[in-house]
Amino acid sequence: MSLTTAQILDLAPDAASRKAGQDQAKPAKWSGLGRAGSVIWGEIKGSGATPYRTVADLAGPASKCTCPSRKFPCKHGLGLMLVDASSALPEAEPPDWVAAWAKGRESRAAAAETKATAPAKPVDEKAQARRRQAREDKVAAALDELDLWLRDLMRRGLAAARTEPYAFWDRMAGRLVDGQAPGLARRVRALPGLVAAAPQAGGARPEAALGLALGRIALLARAARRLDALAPEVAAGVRAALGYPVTAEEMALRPDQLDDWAVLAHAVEEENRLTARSVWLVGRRSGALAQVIDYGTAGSPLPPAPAAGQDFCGALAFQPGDPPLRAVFRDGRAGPAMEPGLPGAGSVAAARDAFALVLARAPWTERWPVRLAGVRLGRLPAAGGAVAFAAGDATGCLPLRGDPRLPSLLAVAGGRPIDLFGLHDGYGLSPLALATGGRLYAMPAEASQAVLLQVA
Amino acid sequence: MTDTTDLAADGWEPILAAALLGAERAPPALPGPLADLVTQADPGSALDPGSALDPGSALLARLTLHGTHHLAGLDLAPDAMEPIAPREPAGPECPPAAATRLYALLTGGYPARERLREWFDLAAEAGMRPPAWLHQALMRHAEHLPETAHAVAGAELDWLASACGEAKAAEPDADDWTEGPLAARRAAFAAFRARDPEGARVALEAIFRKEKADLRESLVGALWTGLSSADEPFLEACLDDRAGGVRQAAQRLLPRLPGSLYASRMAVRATTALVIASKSRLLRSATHELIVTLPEESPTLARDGVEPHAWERRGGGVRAGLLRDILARAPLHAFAAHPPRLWLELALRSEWAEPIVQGLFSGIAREGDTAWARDIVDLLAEAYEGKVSGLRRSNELLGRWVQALDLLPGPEWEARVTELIRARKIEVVLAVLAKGPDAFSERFSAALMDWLAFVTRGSESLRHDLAKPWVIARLGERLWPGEDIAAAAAALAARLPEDEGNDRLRQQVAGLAETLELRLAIRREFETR
Repeated sequence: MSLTTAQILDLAPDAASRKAGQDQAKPAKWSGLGRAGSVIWGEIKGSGATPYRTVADLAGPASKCTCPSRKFPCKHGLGLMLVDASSALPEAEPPDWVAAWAKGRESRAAAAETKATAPAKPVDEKAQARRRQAREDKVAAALDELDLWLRDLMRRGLAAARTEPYAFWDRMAGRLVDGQAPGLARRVRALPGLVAAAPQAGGARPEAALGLALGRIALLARAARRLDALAPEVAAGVRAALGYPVTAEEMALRPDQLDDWAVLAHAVEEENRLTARSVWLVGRRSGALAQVIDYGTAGSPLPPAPAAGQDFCGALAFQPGDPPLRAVFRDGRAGPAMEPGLPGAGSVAAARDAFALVLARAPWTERWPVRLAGVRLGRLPAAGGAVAFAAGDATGCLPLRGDPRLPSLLAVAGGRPIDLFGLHDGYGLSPLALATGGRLYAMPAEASQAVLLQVA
Repeated sequence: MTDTTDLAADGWEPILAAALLGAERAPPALPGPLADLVTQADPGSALDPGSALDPGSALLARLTLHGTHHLAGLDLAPDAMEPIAPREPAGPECPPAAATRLYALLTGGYPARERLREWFDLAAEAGMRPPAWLHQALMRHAEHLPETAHAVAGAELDWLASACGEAKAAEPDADDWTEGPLAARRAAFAAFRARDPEGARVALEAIFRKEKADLRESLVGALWTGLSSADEPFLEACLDDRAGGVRQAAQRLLPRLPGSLYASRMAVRATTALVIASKSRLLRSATHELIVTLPEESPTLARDGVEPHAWERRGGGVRAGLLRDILARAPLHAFAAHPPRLWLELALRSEWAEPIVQGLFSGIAREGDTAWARDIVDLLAEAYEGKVSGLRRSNELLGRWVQALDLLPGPEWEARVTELIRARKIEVVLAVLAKGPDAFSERFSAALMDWLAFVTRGSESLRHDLAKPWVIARLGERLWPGEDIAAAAAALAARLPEDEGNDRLRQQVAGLAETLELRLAIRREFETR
């Protein structure tokens, strides 16, 4: 198996690494190149005295290099994969250091598995219950405070709230963090951004966005007070939205969902000095949608994940919630896509209905993934000089959210019907991937240059 | 934007207006199904039985309900959108490897510019286009793209620009050169001129007096296209224009008309300044002497564009500068009384060698006269060999020889340099390589690579000489991008002896090999399907 050049370039942590990786992608710079299955390796002369040893597993994809770079994957890892992408490396007997790395990976995976399946050490149930109760009390106190704050805000009106300084919002968010409801804190912290934002194509007007966001916070807070009255899955969804972590024990009990998962796109967002990467997947057989989120920091890079345009054949485990979306990878292998295209795509009307249904089940949902089949892109009558785009078919149309990468989307679509995948917030769609002419294109994780070709 | 379509459909706008005002000032809720839901759903939470009466809480509940209802019901009719017209199918896409290369070149910054040009030349030759996913990146680099890029992908980029709702750039419309912004008018006029040189000039003359100076200057400059002796009277008149820019534009064009009044004025000035006095003696060959009369500055000279430059005081003086400028503008037929070789030989011996040589060389370059160039090259070659009496072999002479060779057309330049290579004149070849054509033929490239291999195998001092002028790395741009040449360059880089003194050379040869390899890779990527 091999990755396409575009897939490899999309793995690069930043534009500089992408460029440097391309510079390393010359077979002449490498020695001792070889492959065994999906593992490839080689040695390259760097600035140090001894050449760097680079090894990568394309199935991960994962890589390791002896260079001192703290980027991941480093330019040598990218270069090695690019060399393989331009012409497949010859099969060879792996040298010791490659075998050691591959073995280490296997044993780490096995250790993780035994750890997951091993009977948990005896739990001090009393202490656990005490901790749980302490947290519930704290959250309840924070919710009371939030309730008061919201009522006061409504009494004075949103127009007055819009003139409040940032500290006004940040103070409440800080209280929610102290009250161990980080999910609510994040939503409150986002409010001043909505107040200050300029109107955007495919989005709500600032005051409407503020009103809607406050509504969602109020609903979530209300649901949080009535957890006992809710169905278990709904309650779990509320707890997740509040920011309660799902424990390893809970996850261990979740069933495997086996499928061939098409990886549609990666989306990277920066939150509080954390890098949050969402991998968006669709089950080819079940049509189920899944979002796998991983967090990375400067010190601990993001774990490897299958590249957009690949298929992850194996199991995901969904976190409790209604409707289910968040998931984690379980056993499986990434490989080339079985077929291009967007499984489970439908009309605009169907996407709207699906979104309404999600709102009915979890009205605090901010965005939901939608799949559209056979839509054309077009222009909406401009309101204030800004050009607004939409995707539509015979059943209606959805505005597209403004994005610097939209022209690429228009260019690839070329005015013809396409399949489109993106996140919908009721007002507009933020496109993430599109399928046309037997190829899948995904927005690059980084909002830089162009839509990348994923499946040739 | 979206909201306008469904203002009346749900109660969202009134409730939003109320929320903006605040519960203290907002009107109470109108009865309705959703409002009833609020009162039903809000009989007070267990925690706070009084909340049902709290106006803030009631307003929040209404806002929340209507908001969710509004979000779930947002709907745009199919005809709210104007679909983008399909792009016309344009032709075969380039192979994926070539597309990836183009992406790398586009993000490669300034050093990749030259290669970008090469990529598009190859694409034009192969009749292939960049894939659609690169169009936006191309659009962003539009102003740096080479000419051929517009020929290859121009229509698609225009389509994308109009799909994005960008106003189309002013089309060069031949009928409309009389209106619009300056650049558009100039482009339109140039197109008109290319179609009908005579008609364009007549049309220009008709409106010329009424236009502003910068436009007059720009349009006179555009007469470059299709310039002929018919334009002479008009350009001559422009020499008296009140705008300096217009005068300069005419002064730039007139020297290109060898039969004009301007040319004859320059010819007279040139032949007054340079006179060959010949004494023929019985039974012996004639002796010649160059008599130089430096011109004086004058208003008539300035009218023809020959003006003293302040900086000339440093190198040779103001009047020598005037002489050079006159010679550069004079037609070569002014010197027909004697062979080119004689003019140059005498000039080189004279005290005014520099201005005369530079002036004559400019004239030869302008008229593209290879007969003159050949004669002069032969003379300089002989002089450098020490075969011309009175002329010493010097770096200055070598520099002039290099300059003269550059006046020859590419193939002739290559032939001459091949001879030098065969004669193993290393320092001359190195000097010559600093100039010459931008692209070498395959044959010459092979010869040059052989020569480089030969020199690098030689002594330490030869390698030192090779590295000194910093020309080798730049040869990568000019050598024929063939497999053999690239292989030879790679072999050269690999074989270079590893010792301290060779670092500079190794660096240059490595640069040469890398550039060639890249150029070759770009070519290969177009072939692999």
